[in-house]
Amino acid sequence: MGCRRVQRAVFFWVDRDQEERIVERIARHLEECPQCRDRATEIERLILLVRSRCPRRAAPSRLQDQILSLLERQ
Amino acid sequence: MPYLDSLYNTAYRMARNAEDAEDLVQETYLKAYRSFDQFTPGTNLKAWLFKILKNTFINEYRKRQAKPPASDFSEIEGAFESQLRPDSMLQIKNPEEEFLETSFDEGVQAALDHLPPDYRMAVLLADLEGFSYKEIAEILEIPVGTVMSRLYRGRKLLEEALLVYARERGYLRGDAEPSKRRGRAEADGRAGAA
Repeated sequence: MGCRRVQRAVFFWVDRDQEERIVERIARHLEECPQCRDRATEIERLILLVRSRCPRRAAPSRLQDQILSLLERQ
Repeated sequence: MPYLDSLYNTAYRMARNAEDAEDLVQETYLKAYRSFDQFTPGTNLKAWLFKILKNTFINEYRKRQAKPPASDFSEIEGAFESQLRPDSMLQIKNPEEEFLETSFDEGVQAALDHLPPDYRMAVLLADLEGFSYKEIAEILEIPVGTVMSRLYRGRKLLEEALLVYARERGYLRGDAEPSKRRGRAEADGRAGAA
């Protein structure tokens, strides 16, 4: 697999959610190619960044009561 | 109540306001309750609830747009095409001035919130909720290949929109194009100190 394909594939490789043989092929390329390895690191950082900077919003406590009360009336 | 916070968080990021998010979640549980006989015990309850949330979001959006029925996000996509340019996603006139006014967290959240809804949903499900590609395909009722394509485009748009901020803070290194990268060691130093 060449650099051009790997540079796109790393967007998914970071999830390790593809067929094992594809994940392994990309991993092998990354071992040998520092440029693509840096790119993979960037994508991993991007995902971590979004996770850490977008705090989860908890549902307001009254929402559960509202929903339960609606369900009781069903 | 199962997955209330997860559903609310996703609804909030899709609707982009608390009031609509509450309505979406409420409607999701009501629909789930009414159609619970269609749920197969032992299968993925969380994915099933998220599928209902996704359909509720599309229906609500459709009602507001007064458009004919859409089976997925394809009709919604067009309305958001103008937001596809990364600079317009954050509406940055002058990055330096904007940077002083807006915190980095707000910048990241704005970039996510302004993704076209189909890409945003894929990114939310994968990166914030941790669903697998197969589960996302089931929730969005699209092939796994389409999930990957939406994730690719969503993550790429996010990256482009955030690059100007990220470069300043050292979370990402260099330019989007690896061949144009300069000063990697310096960027590494910043990233390490961040």
